[in-house]
Amino acid sequence: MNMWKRWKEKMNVLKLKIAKLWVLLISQMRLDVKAYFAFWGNYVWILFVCVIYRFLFEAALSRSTIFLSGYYISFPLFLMSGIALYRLVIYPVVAVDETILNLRRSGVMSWILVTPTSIYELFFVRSIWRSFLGITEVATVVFFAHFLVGIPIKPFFQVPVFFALIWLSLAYISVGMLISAASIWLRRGSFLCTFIQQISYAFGGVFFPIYLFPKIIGFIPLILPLSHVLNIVRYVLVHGGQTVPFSLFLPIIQMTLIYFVIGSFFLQKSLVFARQNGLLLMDLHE
Amino acid sequence: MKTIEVEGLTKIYKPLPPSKTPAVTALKNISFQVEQETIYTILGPNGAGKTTLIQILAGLIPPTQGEIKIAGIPIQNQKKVSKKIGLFTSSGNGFWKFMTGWQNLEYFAALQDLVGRPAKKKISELVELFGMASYVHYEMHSYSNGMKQRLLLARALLHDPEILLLDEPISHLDPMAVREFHLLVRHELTRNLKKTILISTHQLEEAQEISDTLGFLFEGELLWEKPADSFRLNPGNLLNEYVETVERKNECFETQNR
Repeated sequence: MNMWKRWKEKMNVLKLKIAKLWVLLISQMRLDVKAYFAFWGNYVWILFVCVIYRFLFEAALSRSTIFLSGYYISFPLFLMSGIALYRLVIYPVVAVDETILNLRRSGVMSWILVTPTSIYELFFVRSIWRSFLGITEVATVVFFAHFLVGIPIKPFFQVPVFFALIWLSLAYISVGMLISAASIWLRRGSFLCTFIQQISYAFGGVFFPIYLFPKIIGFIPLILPLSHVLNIVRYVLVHGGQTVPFSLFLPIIQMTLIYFVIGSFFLQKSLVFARQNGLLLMDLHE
Repeated sequence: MKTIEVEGLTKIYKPLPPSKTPAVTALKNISFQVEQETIYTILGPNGAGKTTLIQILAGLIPPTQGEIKIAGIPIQNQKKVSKKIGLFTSSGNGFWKFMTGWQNLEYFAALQDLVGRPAKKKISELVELFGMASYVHYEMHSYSNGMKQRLLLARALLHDPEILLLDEPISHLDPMAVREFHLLVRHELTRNLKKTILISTHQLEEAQEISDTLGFLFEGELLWEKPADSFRLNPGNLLNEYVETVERKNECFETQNR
């Protein structure tokens, strides 16, 4: 009887937690959707990018191919996968950092600290929402590319591609945690997000195969989750999703775990320190 | 019965490395108590340490020294204390301007672990109590300061706390809104809802009208505590007391420096 009671209590707590996260998620959606409608002009970039790259694709559709590790991929698929996945990088990396930044700027932080809600619950909600936004952007880019320049859409809808996207989101959420920890100490962290995004864009293998980089900077793509995930996705686009070697997944799994452990450790330590010293209440731009 | 007990509270802000700025003592050995269901107002000029005191009592920053009990619970027990306290800070009110007042209250109720039907019921009660029905479904960016102030109070009461900490609650309000605010605090919150309230402000007239006890904080020291009744009969007295205290303190400071 006691066990039944305890189980029932635990289920009630779980139900409360899920209901709470749901309300927070809906609020997050409301906030972002309203904000994005306010800045709808930014979304013209999708059309803009597609029109600009149309010329590239047309050139590429003359059947030129690019050599990657052991196989050839058509240029449109190479470029499209790069651009689409880069869009996914933008959201998760700011999910954690923006949470702290927004809460501090808006004054909500001082209120959250006197509630039973942990900041991690808010990170969790924001990360889910931001990852979802990122995936919708990937889908948007792929669909536009299909309708405007006839890039094949089917190869993107394969299970290993989705797995790779999830790992990519997790990896950049972990990188975001590291940036957030740094932003608590530096008091100005948003430039780090932009820096990581730009480095990923330039060195992640979006436009060029990474073996083309000079040796002296050749290590940079290797520490970027984007380049490893692009390896997987491009392999699947060419060979299909049935036989993806595990060795392709191994680097991104290892990297994500390392980034996650280091990121969450430093973030936790920094949050505790900031809490004890009142740093969380300070506006980053004070 | 004492609801807030503060004994020998000191707060020193130490600079973080590599900064070489000297440490700042924001509060110096402060002791006071607040009785249940009363209003205690901390007066003092800007920079006196009022906000630091509120932040420490809310558990936002830890004290350097001293003992604090909130409804008998040591402040270190943050989880239990947070359930007893409702915080109201008008600077950086923390509402999401793209959401309606109702949606904001739903969000903040969720942060207090209040969701579903109980949340809706509580929010409806507060909307009715503070007369917000006509605008609570509008987006926040269209709210006046008075409307925001009511919503802030409603937010502080979502989890039905015993104690309300109000930091500069009337700083942005016009005289009519101040009057309304007084009625709300004095009649609804203290008399009807039986809340204990600690207010920090530098507005003397409002403080003497609304409070049971006044405390004067200057450069981190609590210089005096007096019942507000003693000033109500002679409204000019509080201003005189305020000015005299500040002048006396400044003279002492100058003598020490010579």
